[in-house]
Amino acid sequence: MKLVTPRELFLHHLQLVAPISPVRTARPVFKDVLLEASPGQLRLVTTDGEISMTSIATHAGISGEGRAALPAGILLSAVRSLESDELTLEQKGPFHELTGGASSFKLHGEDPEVFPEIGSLDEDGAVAIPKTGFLDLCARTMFAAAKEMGRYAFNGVLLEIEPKEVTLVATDGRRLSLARMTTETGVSERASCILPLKGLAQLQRAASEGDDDVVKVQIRENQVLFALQGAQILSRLVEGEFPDFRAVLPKEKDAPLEAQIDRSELERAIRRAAVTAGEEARSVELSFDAGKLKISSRQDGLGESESEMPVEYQGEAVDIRFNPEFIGEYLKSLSDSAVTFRFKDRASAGYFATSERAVYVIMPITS
Amino acid sequence: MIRALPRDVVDRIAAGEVVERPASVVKELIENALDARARRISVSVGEGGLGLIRVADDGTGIAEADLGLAFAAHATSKLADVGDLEHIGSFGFRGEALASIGAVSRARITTSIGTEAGGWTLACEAGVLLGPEPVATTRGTVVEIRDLFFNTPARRRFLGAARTEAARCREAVTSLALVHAGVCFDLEVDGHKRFRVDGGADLRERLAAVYGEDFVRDMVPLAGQHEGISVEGWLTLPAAAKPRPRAQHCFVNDRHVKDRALVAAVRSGCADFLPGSLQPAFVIQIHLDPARVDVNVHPTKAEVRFRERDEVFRAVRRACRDALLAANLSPRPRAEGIAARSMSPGWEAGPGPALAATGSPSSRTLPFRVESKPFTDRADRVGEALPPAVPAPAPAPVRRYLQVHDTYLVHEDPAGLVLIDQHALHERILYARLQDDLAAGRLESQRLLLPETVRLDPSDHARALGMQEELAALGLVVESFGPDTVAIHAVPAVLQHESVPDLLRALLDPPDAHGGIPNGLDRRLFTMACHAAVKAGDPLGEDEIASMLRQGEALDHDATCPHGRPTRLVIPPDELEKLFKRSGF
Repeated sequence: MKLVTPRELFLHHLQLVAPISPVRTARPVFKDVLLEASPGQLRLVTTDGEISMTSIATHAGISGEGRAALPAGILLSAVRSLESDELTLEQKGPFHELTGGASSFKLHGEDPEVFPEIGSLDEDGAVAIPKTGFLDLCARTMFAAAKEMGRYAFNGVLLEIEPKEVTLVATDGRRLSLARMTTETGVSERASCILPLKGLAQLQRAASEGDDDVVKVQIRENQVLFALQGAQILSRLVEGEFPDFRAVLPKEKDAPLEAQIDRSELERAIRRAAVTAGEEARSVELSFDAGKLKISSRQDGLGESESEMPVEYQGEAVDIRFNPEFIGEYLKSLSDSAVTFRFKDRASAGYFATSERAVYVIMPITS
Repeated sequence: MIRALPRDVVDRIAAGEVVERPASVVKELIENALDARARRISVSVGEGGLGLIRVADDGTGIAEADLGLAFAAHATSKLADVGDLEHIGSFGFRGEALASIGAVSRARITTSIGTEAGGWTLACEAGVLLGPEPVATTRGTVVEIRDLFFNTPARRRFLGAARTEAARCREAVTSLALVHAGVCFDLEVDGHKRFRVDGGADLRERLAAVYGEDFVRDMVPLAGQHEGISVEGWLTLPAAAKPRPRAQHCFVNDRHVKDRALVAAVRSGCADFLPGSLQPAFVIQIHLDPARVDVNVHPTKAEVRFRERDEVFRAVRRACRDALLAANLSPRPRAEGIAARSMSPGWEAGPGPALAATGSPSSRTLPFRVESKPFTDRADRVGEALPPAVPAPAPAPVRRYLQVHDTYLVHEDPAGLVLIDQHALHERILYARLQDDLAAGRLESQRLLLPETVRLDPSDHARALGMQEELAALGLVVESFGPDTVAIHAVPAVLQHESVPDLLRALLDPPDAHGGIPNGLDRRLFTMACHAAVKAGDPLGEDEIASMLRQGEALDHDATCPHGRPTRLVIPPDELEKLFKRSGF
């Protein structure tokens, strides 16, 4: 192959697709990025067998023809280290020579023909969802998904597309975050699937730049396709049954007490309390009383801490304990200035909400 | 046709209950001697006891008038009526021993009550009496048993080789010799002297006489009182424990008993000091009101029944635990050990069968040994961990920590170079914290939003429901969810990243899966601590290491992990010097 491309553009697209390549893999070709050059366009493809990402660079400064499969990590480092504005990549015998100005690399590639086939990127029937809103839903939910492989579909995020609504839900069994947005989706009945975290994180990266207005989402039998103007992500879905989240969302009568709390003040107080919450068994205590909230923690042999802040609260005095990480991660995901916390007693589920469309249910720690 | 069995057959059957093997004969005869208030007892065993058992004592002897009854069933001078059974202070009381032995051997008693009339000798061959005849002898009794089981070949076939039986005889003499202070014992096997215990020897000296001085050096004394139960004895340090029990002796009111529960109590006391695969050696003497223990359970009197079994268990457990807590348990690699010290056998390590298997004390085979600890050592270390606000006579040494292979921590302290197993130490810290939290009702539990269902096999399902309360105390709230499923509503906060089904199954494991540590809740804390602790291979930052060491030092006991593996090895400066051949230059 032969390729001539502006360096910045090449680097940008490589940075987008490279994170897909697994660090360790039994199939060396998964470490490669597939490059397909044609005049004015360069396609870059990476895959780890579960998720594949295609990024398309379109630019008048691109010229050349042909395909190559080169190790993504090394290629990225090489491109980053070169200093000229324009780079040339050319196959010479067993090597691909990457040249920028007076410097050059010789890189070993794989036969591009062994690069795995990725599925069809046909976008027919995809649902267009406003990009900003969808990224907001991702930010409000992804942190609550289980990090470890667990039962059910906990290490994925549920996507539900309804005629006028899109919902994301994530849970690890101890807390659950739900966020929904109103939008005309054009579907006639509810469709749902479970998105893997890695695929969603990749979508966040790709969608956070670019001037797209919408993300196109196409749910297939066991895959989901996210399409932006210059990038497509095809991901296998998480198999399994997502728990019935509607059954565990507390109704208002289950959580009759309500407090209005300043978000950033609470976030700072939780962070302080976490210092003395210990390393293994962590809990912080939220003590509500008329007009005020005390946040404290204590660990034998470590110390204790206490912060008090004014809140809008009229109910009885209640102490309730939570894992500080669970609250901290939630508050960090928000940009809202105030949160509502509704609860009942020290042993029952409580929930935070910023609106009716964004709810975070959290289970207490008891002893 | 049903007919009454002839007398000799009945005797032979009854004999089987008391006289199981030569060692039981040895035991019965020594107990008779003790009941006769002997101060000196000599035992000879030949051909594993099948050829000859001879027990000579200097006791009160048997009067001529009583001698004729010596081989009669249920004839005893030690028990007059049923009421006496409540307060049995003598060893023999059933009146079975001599009759049984006489029925299955060629026996002879020579005895004198020490009067000028001299003594008498009476022979009994397969139950048939010959004598008594007058004989010149000194005060005391000599019982000689030859050709044991000669008329019951079936019994003979069940016995082990001569050396095995000789080892059992030796064990029988040993157990009695250990406990009877004031009595001098000696033992000969096939004409070779095996040991001699002086009358004035205390328990430690008796142990040393029987097992060798090296063996005793690895033991710590134990003593305790609990609810009128006194416990005394000696216990091996964990580092000297062996996979097979070498010496495990329990005495209740000076009677040697084989009681699995007592062994379990000792093990339980050692539980978090000792790996489950190893056995402690020990001698435990329990004294309590004879009315609180029933010894009339088994013909050989080896089993006893306590009226308050749990109290006895607790007393033993606590005494063992306290003894280990007071001891310095960090193994110290020893230069001599590493340099393959030569052995010092003496007659103790002769060809005796029992010794051949077990006669090598730990310090010869292990490069590590535990030294008893000066109490100041602990205090020094705690003092150092305090913030510098406390005025110190000398500046505290700078501490540096190093993690090796992501598994071991290395640092120095005044005691020397310290090597730490990070998982073992963290496990110990967490275990201690979990214990404290459990005791204070502070063991936290993360409630689950979505109860997790776990399918169990029927026995686990039943066990899980039977243990609901115990599991809830640990933070695991389990409820039935159909015939083979349970729903988990809360998990221990410390373990919330664990797989819930794995955790539940680990907690349900029957106790014997962990070396018989009997206390269920405690053992489950081990499991939890183990699951929550940093693993070998986890990289740790300097802060984490410092914090872990500090937490370890704050504990009563951090020398072993809850499974009994050592958490640290200490190489003292003088040992380093020896290893590097610096000393003496």
